[in-house]
Amino acid sequence: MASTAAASTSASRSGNSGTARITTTAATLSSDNQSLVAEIRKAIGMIKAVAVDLEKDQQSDKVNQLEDAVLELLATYDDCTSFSDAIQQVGSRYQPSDQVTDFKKLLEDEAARLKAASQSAPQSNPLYRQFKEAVWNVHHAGQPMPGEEQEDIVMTTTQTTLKNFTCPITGKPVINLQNPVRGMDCRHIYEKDAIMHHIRTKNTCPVAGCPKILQAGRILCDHLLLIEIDELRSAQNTAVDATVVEDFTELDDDE
Amino acid sequence: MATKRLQQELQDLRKDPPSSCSAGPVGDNLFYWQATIMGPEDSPYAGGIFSVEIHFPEDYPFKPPQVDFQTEVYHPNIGLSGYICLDILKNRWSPAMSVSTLLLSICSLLTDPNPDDPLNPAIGNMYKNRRTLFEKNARAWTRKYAMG
Repeated sequence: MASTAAASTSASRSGNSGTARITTTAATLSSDNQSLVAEIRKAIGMIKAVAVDLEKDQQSDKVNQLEDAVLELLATYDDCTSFSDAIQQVGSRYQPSDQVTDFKKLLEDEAARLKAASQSAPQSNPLYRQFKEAVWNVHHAGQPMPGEEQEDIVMTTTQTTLKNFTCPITGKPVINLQNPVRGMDCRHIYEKDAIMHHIRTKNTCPVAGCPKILQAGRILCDHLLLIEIDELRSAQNTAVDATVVEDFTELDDDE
Repeated sequence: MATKRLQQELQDLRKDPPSSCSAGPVGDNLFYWQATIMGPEDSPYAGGIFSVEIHFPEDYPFKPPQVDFQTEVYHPNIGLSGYICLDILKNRWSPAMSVSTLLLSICSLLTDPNPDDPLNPAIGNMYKNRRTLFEKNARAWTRKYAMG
């Protein structure tokens, strides 16, 4: 009797440690995958900059080639995102059993399910739109893109996935934060020291109306955050450059 | 952190001041501000200019500032000493709030008092049951104390 109880206890203990190991492994794999997603995003940003330069030089054929490359990268980007989510889902749902678990099949099925659920073509990705818009604005700044002439609201390249543009605690713009972090549940961005100080006394998100509970372990600088902040910074710099108008009124007339 | 945050707020207030109020530090002390609130047009406080003092704690913005009216106000949620009974100055404070949002909340309180949680029960009762008399008194106090 006692030996049976001991056996079941040790089995459950090994089951628990197995589950913990799987969860940890899933978190590591997902993190690695996220860094790949971040690199793809960075590459798309670089391609966009090159495409803008080529468009200035009237090299439309090369711009078209880059557009195809962006679409290809975005398809990979979506695959990686689905796979990353699948890793997390499988890791969090894993339950030990007597049968050997086929993780490869589990991951493939989950990734396929997530991809089918999202069913978004690379063309509908905001990053593709930003690429198209950046190229279009080289020669047609201020004009609506083809097919958008009838739209009341014209979307702009300042589209961003960032949820807030200033830290709710320090009041600093996110592009000036020394150590930006993001709450994984509510996606708000904060200065790290400030939010860590805040959650010592209060565990709710400081943004007015945000109901999320904050946990220290889920407030971090994820792989995409710095890239998104960089994108915002460069978008703002571009906007500033675009508003600089030379003043020729001081020039003397030649006549 | 408090100093940096207050400098940031001061900069934001100068860049984009709210329409019905103004605020700034008294002398060089960044932790003691003076603010001015214009009586809202759609209230018995219209035309009045109300002076408010704001004391910031050392651990601002994690703790709320202490805000008191220096001008006497006839209001259910404002004491004769100038103390303001407002949830965001107590348990509902969030570090995301700022001087600007605070002053706008006080303006809103002037327009819409909360008679169910009065600091001055007699005025709260009058606001609920004898609104015309309340408004007459509030206007009289505004003329007497807030119109120079």
